[in-house]
Amino acid sequence: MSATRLIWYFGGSLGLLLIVTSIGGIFTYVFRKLFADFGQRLGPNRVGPYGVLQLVADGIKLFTKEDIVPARAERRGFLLAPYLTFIPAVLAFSPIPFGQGLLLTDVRVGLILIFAITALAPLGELMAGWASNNKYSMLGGLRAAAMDVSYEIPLLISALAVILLAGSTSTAQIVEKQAHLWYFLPQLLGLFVFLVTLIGKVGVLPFDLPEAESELVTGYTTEYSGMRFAFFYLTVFANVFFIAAITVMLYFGGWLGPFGLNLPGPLSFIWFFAKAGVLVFVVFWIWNSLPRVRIDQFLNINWKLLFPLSLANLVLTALLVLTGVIH
Amino acid sequence: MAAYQPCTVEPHPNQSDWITLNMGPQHPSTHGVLRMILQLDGEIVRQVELVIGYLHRSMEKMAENVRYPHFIIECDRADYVANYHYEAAYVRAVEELAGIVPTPRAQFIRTICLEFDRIQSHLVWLGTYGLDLGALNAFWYGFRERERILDLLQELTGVRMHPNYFRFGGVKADLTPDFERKALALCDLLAGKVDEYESFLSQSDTFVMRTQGVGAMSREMAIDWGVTGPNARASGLDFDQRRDEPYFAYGELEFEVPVRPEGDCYARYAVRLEEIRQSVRLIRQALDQLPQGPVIPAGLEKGYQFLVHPNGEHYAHVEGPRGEIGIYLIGDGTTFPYRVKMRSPCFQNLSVLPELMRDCLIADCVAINGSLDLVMGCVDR
Repeated sequence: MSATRLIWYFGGSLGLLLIVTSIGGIFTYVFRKLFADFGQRLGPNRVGPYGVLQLVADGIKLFTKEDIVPARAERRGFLLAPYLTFIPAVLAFSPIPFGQGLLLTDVRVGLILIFAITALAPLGELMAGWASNNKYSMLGGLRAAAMDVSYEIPLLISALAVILLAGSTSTAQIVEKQAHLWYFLPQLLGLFVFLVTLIGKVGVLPFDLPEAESELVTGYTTEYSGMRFAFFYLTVFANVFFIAAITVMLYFGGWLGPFGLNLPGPLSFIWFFAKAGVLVFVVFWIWNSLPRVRIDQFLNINWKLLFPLSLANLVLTALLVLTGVIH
Repeated sequence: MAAYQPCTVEPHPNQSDWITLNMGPQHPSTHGVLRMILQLDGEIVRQVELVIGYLHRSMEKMAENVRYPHFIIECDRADYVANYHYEAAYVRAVEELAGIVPTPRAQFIRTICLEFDRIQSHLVWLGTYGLDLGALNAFWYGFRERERILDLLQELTGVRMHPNYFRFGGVKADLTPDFERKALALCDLLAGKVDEYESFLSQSDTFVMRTQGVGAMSREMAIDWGVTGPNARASGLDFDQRRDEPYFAYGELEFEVPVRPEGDCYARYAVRLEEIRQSVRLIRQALDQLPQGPVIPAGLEKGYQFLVHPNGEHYAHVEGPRGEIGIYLIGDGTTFPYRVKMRSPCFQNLSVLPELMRDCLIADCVAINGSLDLVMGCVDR
């Protein structure tokens, strides 16, 4: 491996970490402002203009807080778990193209790599739940694992339909193939299943069962404080960005502009972030307006509604591709 | 959405697999300091044991050591969400025992206060119930209107909560000059807002899924456990003190008592929303028919209140926002009560909880607990 490759990977990884972390941080502010607007309140408005420095204040608070490890916790697991959830959340972005050529790892199995990385997330959640030695945490961890495992199936099947359309699992090629037709048009059903399952997998309302405050206090994060809690918190918001990023990539043409209004080269990231921003708003909107479903209802929705729908979508897409309607 | 189907998981034969989960007294959704010891079989609640008393302030004993009017302010603290209702029950008990006849204007002012109090209590319930189910914004909407009611009552009584406003024979002060105009404006606002809440919650599939068929309480069960108020009316028990044994100005006002037969969480929610509408109706009528005259009878102003010295026993009750609030009063002819027994509706409603929660999921457990509208201050006294 040449020195330039090494620098590219090293610098790129650092850049990605910075981007995802700062986006996650900014989202905490955006979310609080939107949450306030939905509830007809003001939200943070004391630190800096419109409270934008609230983010910094929160950061300082979390950095300086005591890092408490419960006396009877499984110490090593407890300390490790936040990183095990945070690292996959960041890593999952590496094959996602933010703009033309703006992707860290351009491998032929990019999409599969993404799902392989996200499949690691329940490990950290389960570990946090178990190691906390707290019954609420454990129930939260178990719920998180159950949800992740069951929602992965319709998620992957609906992504499979996109792979059929694009004829490739390379993320960059999937975007390029959408030059004349964004896939949300032939994949409306798939998009619906994909978004619902992804929201469920990430675990925000109405599917925030692992952290249901009113039931499990805050689930597997109950015992965490300071920076370790901040990692969990950041993970949630990084995941919200992940929902938007991967949906834009698979269904809304990634860095491509609408009506052929493409921006040249790396500048095309503007389109990507514009579209992702809209989707993030949609996720926050859902988050703020729906009550939480129950665990059995959640699993019923998955196995009795989303799973058959995703299969039907796959068959339909396969027929469309076979008959040459879409190519 | 398909109709609700209860979760059908076979009970585990081995009870040693159960986990004991201590929910409360410090927990976001036990609404105060209720402690529930849950025996969990996975996520299914098999047994519930309730522990109460964390908010016990020995109010009944305190009553014996203060003169009659001094206990009015203590009544506010019993149910700290609906302050006026315990006051009303206590004042009514003393008046009826001492033979004091309240002035007509005071009766109407009291009725207006009580109905505003009922609305704001239901709004607190609505907000916190939304929070229980994860509808985060219901809380802000409910509290937004509640604040308007508290502002109005603050003009009248001087404080937002714990008003100490009722007196034997009347109320502390007459209405402020533009109270009637403001109250009518608030009524118009509230009537519209109830529809808004309904559009947010009743039409939300998720909310209906979480509440319909959950925690069903039969009519017989409600009677057996002494459940009263909206909880009983949601189980088909057509019973309301305001209509059946009218007190204050209720006998002269027209209103309907909402009753629903289902007995589930959704019915309790629907009954409470309808009660807000009826309360608005009652306030409008009371403001319309408000008689002129003094708000306290001659001979009972200010310090003369302390001379009240009833003799004998009496039980008086009012229809609180959570059910029948009763005061059993024994006077021995001195200016101190001999005994004050407070019948708390929440205590009775709470007692049915283990029955309702048996074999439900943890999430349902929260939904049922919230739907009964328990205030621990009212339970423990």
